Parts: sequence; structure tokens; C-alpha cells
Amino acid sequence: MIIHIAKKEFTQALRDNRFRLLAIFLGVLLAFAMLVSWSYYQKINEEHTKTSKTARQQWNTQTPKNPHAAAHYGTFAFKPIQTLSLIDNGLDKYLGVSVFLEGHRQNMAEYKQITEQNDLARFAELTPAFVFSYLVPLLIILLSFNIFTTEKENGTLKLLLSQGVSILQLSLGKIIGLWTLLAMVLLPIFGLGFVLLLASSYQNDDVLRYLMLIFSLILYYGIFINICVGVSAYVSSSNTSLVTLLGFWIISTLLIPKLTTNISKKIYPTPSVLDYKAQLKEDLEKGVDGHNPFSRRSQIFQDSVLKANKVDSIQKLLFNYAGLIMQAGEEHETVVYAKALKKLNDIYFAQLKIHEASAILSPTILFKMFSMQLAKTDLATHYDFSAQAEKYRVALVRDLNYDIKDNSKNGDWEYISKDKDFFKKNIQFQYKPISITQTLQQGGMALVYLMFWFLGTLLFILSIKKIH
Amino acid sequence: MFLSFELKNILRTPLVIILSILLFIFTLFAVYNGKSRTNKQLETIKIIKEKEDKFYTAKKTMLDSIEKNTKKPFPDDKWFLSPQYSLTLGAVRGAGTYAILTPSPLSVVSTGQSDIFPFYTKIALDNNNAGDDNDNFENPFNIAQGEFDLAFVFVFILPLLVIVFGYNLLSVEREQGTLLLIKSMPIRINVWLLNKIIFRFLFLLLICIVFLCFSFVLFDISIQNFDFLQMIISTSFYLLFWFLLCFLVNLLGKSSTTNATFLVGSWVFFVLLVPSIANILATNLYPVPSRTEFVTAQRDIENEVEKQREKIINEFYAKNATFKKPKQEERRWRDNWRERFVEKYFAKKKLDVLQESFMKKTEAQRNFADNFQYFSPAILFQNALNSLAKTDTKTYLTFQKKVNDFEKKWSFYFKSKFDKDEKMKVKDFDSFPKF
Repeated sequence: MIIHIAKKEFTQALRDNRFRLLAIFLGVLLAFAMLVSWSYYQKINEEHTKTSKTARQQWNTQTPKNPHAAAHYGTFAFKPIQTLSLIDNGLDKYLGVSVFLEGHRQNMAEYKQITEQNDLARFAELTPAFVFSYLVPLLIILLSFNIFTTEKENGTLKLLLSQGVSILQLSLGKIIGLWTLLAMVLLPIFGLGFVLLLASSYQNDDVLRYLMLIFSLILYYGIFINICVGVSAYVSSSNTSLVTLLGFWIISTLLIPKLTTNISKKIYPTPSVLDYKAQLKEDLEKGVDGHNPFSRRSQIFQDSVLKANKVDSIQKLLFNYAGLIMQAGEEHETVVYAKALKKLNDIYFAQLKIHEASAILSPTILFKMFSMQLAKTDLATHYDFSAQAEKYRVALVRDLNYDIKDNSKNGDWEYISKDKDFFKKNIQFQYKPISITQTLQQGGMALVYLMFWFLGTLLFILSIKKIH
Repeated sequence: MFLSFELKNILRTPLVIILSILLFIFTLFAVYNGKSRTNKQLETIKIIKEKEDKFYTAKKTMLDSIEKNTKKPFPDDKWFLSPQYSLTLGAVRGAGTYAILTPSPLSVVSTGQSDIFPFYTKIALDNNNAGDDNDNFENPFNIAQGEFDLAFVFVFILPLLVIVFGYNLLSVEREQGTLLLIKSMPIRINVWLLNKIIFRFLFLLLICIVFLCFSFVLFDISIQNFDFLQMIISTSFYLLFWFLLCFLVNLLGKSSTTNATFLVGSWVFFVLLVPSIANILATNLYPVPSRTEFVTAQRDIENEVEKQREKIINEFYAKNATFKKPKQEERRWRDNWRERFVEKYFAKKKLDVLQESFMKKTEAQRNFADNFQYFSPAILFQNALNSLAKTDTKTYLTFQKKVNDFEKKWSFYFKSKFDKDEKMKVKDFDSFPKF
């Protein structure tokens, strides 16, 4: 019986011009968005490989200089583009792409694409994720707001029920019918996405991530289908049903995310740059300054070094003290920067928690958060990249300072390594992508909440005992 | 008669009442958010101005006592502490002036681009990295979601209210079977519908104005200015567009649900689809070269200059007979700084060319995208609000341009003093370039 009902809904919609038109339009839009994203991905990926190589080449062939001068000269780490950004580019354009790595300080990633793009980027960007999370739910609503109400308005519902069909059977049949229609639109698109993924330089877990993304999409659409069928069963007229459902769509996609943005900033205020820098400066002054051996802290450090090596002056040390104190200063600075950044990032993550909590009213925000985590275009992945770049910077600067310490004479500020390939032999930056386990640890809750939403709305339908 | 009937008709629809209350709350909250944002900016501006004042007052007092011989001048190797040197006042150790873009009175209206562009920049002779101390601190996730500002409420939400107000004006009469009744009245149906639409338009416009005035006055924002009037005017045009659309859709004589579907479809089209499709066209037809390539190209120039350093410096001394190349043992801080400037200006010329070609590409993309505003009243209205709030891209780019020009003035002033090895005087403080 359920199958009969599903079939009826399916054929009815197929014969409906409204559905055909919308489905084709959305399908084309999705395919177009995917192809454009993919070609963008290819371009950036190529550029990234090329420029990373160039940056390293520039480091290798820099004019010979004192290793610490080279630390000031610095080098770059470029953020790679993630393969699944072809589905969801998440926060990519709001995050910097290039980190300048130099001695003494941890720089934030620079050059956010959004400041260089046209203003329309602030409205909406035609990406697959945008169509998936905003427009497809609208299609579902338009397809199903009157799925029960028309039957009520035409009087066919009574006829059906008098034939012995239970309300549950009816609801399930309609839901299956809707799913079949949706599958018709989405399966080819999912297939296209898969092909494009395979045609990119993907990592092994990207396929799994993609499948999980599809799974979360199914949950997300399931929520909308359940709500549509439920509302259509509850209210008496198609008009009311449509207005209610559109209201829900607006609340979920636009109102709640924007409201939460401001509420999250009220609860966990973002510090001002001035406060941040002032605190940083204060903390930096509390430790050893590698460039100022006469400060009180530096003197204490010097005494401890002399004591540990059982000598009475730095000239008698078996190594160049300049390299050691430079590194001591560096280590203090590293800790200070890490602490300051962590404090800032913790505020951002606390704000994200508020967004997650707002999901009680908006499944869209849940899906968006989870999908950008899967695509590795979220904040956590960005910080993971920054952390790796920082780890690399620390290692590189340590190598440079220790070369002074171990291979140069005290007071020789003109020291240049005898090894012509010294810079070439310096440690190289290797980016290790975040693993799916990490992603699920950070963002798994979003998936759980999506399931809650899905089951909750399903219960809503199952609880319908009587249709007025 | 018609008016009082219509008014009763509107006021007795619970949905209208609920939505009006919501609109009131939204307006209030949006203005509050705008006010908080502006206040945060004003606070920052106050702090940086104080910082700058403190710095220069201290230096001025110090210089005054040196001039009056109540304080000994600093020894030459402590030049960086001495206010007698132009570099100490214009280049190093916290010296420099802030170029500030003060928020306009109506900046509460729209966040616009204010969350991605800096509104102040520190300018010093030694520091041409304008973005250095004003990275915009904001959660990228929040920037991506966008703020709940007045522009959002008006551009996105208001049309939906219009749609609820007007999607079924005629169709509902047909569906209730009262259409014949209306047709029997001594008025043409189109005129009757138009009257209804105009009445609703005026009603919504009026409550918008009332809500706006109330929340502006509540948060102490001036409404007695031309900008506010302009905002009301553009709002009414925007409302009018959507009401006209409702009118036309009603005339088609379809069912209420078809009307609603069509109108919401138009909303999606104008508010979401046109901007996103135009954006994707602009970014692909007028691509902006990648910043990673820019960064490496910049480094190439730096390397090039570094390699030619000797040559550049020697050429400088050959051309400028007033300066002599010092012997290594006679080298003083002045010589180091002079050569540093020579090298820096040499590199800057090349870097500026690179930067300019980059900016030209972004400008081309922006110009192309701007053409699309005529395809969507939502974009037009948003742009109008942004420019009233002075948070549009143009304002920020103009500010950056002014900053660059000013930086040249500032640098010229202090560098020529440095070149002439002129001691700074207390009276010079009044002739510092002002932004």
C-alpha cells in the first residue's frame, strides 16, 4: 500500500510542470556550480604547488647571510586548497592564504580573498554547498507543502482513509514518494561530484568524507521532508502550510544564523586588536630578549647558563652564547604568541558553540558547520594549518640559531655558514592534512544533533493520529 | 470608508500583527547591533588618538626642556630617544600618526564592508606596511554568516513581509467566493486592487518609518539629516518595487499558492540568485591573480634589490654629491638609515608597480560585478544603504588611497629633515602633516 501511495506521489509530481522546471533548473545550477568550483580548485591547487616550490627556491638561493639574519628574512607557508572545497569552500575566502614565517614572532595568515573580491560575494556565492543548503530545501517545500492539504481541500483524504489506509501508511508513502523525486534530482549530482573528486588530487579519506557529507545531506533533507509532510498534515489549508514552511526555511537559513552571530559576539566579545597587542607586548617583555643581552631577564638567563657550564664568562663557553640566548628569546616569544593566539581562538570556538546551540532552531547551521568540517574548510582546519606552520617556523629558527651557537665564534656577527648548501639543507615544510578522526572529534556532535533533528521530526509524523 | 475598512482588515489579521511586532523587534535589535559596532570603533579611535597624543606630548615636552637647556641633549648613540631627530618623531619606536576613517552618523545602518576593511592605519616613515597593526579581529565564521544589521532586515526580510501582505489580495477573494461581490461594486477590479496595494504600501512604509525613528531616537542617533531622508526614500522605492510585483502577480489571476510560490521565487531570484550568479561570472571572467603568486613575486623583487644593493648604494652616492660614502669604521647610524632608505625606495617603486597591476585586476572585477546591480533591486538597495552608511567598498578604497597619498606627505616631511640633518624644533610640531 505504501508503495502505491509513493508511486502516486511520484507520478503526480513528474507530470507537474512546476516540479520539472524547478528540478531541471536546480540540477543545472548544481552541475554548473560544481564544475566552476572544480576548475577553481584545479587552478589554485596548481598555483599552490608552484608557488610553494618558488618560495622554497627563494629561500635556498637567498644571498649568503648570517643565519639569524636569514631568520629575519623569513619564508612563507602557503595554505593548500582542500579537495572537497569543490563542494563546500566554507570559510576559505574569509581566511588568509599565506603565512610569513620569521624569527621572533608568529604571524597570522594574510590576504583574505574576500577583501579582493567584488561586493556581491557578501550576498551569496554560487557554490554546491550554497545550493545544497539553501535552495534544495526550498524545492522540497514547494514540492510538498500541499501534499496533505490538497487532499483535504479536494476531499480525497476522506476517500483514502475510508478505504482502510492508515495515516501512518499514508505519511510513509508520501515520504517515500518525495525521496524518490529528490533522488532523481540529486543522484546524478552526487555522481558528478564523485567523478570530479576522483579527477582531483584527492586523499584517501576524502572519499569517506564525501560519503559522510552525502549522508549528512540526506539527514538534512530528511528533516525538511518530515517537517513538510507533518505541517501539511496538521494545518487545514495549503496557504497556511506554505507560509508556515517558508517561515521555517527563513528562520533556519537566514534569521537564526545572523541573529546568533550578534548574540555570540555579545556573550563572548571578540577582543580589540589594541588590547590583544598590548597584552602581547606586556607578556613579551616578561622574558628573555635575544636581541638585548643587558636586560634583567637576559642577565638571569646568562648567570644560569654560566653556572650550568661551570664557567665564569661567556667567552669561556664551548659554544657561541649569542646563538643560545637568541634561541632562549625565541622560545619565550613562541610561548607568548601561542598563548595569545590560543586565547583568541578559544573565544572564536566559544562563539561557534553558541552557533551550535542555536541549531535547536536551525538545522541549516548544523549542516553548514558539519559540511565545512568535512570539507576541511572550517576554522579548526585553518588553525591546524597555522599550528603546523608555526611548528615548522620554530624548528627552522632553532636550526638557524643553533648553527650560530655551534659553528660560529663569540662576537662574530658577520658569520656566514661555510656550507654553501646550508639554506638548502634547512628543514622543509610538510603539511599533514587533518585526519577524519580529528574532524569527527571536533565536529561529530553536529552530526549527532542532525540525527536528533531527523528522529525528532520523524516522531512528529508518526505521532499524527488524526487528520482534520 | 475604504480606508477604515482596509485598516480594520489589516489589523484584524493576526499574522500581520505578529509580523509587525517582529519587524519592530528586528529593527530595534539591528540598530542596537549597529550602535555597538560603531561604539567599538569610536572607542578604538579614542584610544589610538590618546596613544598618539601621549607620545607626541611627551616628546614635545622633552624637546622644550632641551631647547630651554633644562635638560641635556641625548648623546648621539642614543639618538632614537632624542626628539631632536626627525626619525624619532616620524619613524621609529612608536612614532607615527594614525589615519582614521571616522564612522559616519548613519554607519549603524549597515555593516557593509566594515568587518573586512580596516578603518584606521598607522603611518610612519619606516613603516609602509599599512596593514600591520590593524588586522581586523573578528571570527571568520561570524563574518561569513554576516551581521544582523538594519540592511539585512530591510533588504532581506522586508520584501517577505510585503509578500505576506499582498500575495493573495485578489486570489483570496476568489477562493472565498467573494470576488463576485467585489465585481458588483461600482469600481473597476484593477483600480480596487491598486487601491488596496497602495494602502498596504503606505501602511508598511509608515510603520517602517515609525520603527526607525523610534529606535534611532532610543539609541541617540540623529535623524534630522538629509541622509536619513535619503534612506527613507530608497526604502520606499524598494517597498514599492515589491508591492508592484504583488500587484502584477495578483492580476494574473492564479491561485493564492501559485502567487506565493511565484513571489517567493522572485525573492530568491533577486536576493540570492542574481548576486551569486553575477559573483561567479565576475570572479571567473575577471579573475584576480592569486595572492600566493603576488607574495612570491614580491619576494623576487626584494631578492633582486638585495643582490644589487652595492650597485644601488654606489649609484646613489655618485648622483648625490652632498653625501659621501662613509668608510666602514666611520659609519654612523645616519649612514645606515640613509642607505636603508635608498634601498627601500628603490624596492618600493618596483613593488608599487606590482601592487598597482594587482589592484587594477580587482578593480576590473568590481566594476564588472557592479553592472549587475541593475538586475536586482536588492543589490541596488543594499549598495544604497552601504554608501549612506559609508561602509561600502568605495569608501574604504578611497580611504586606502588617501592613506597612501598621506604616507608620501608624511615621509617626505620627515625624510627631508633627515636628509638635511635638521634638528627638530618645538614649533615644528605644528607643521607635521595632518591626515
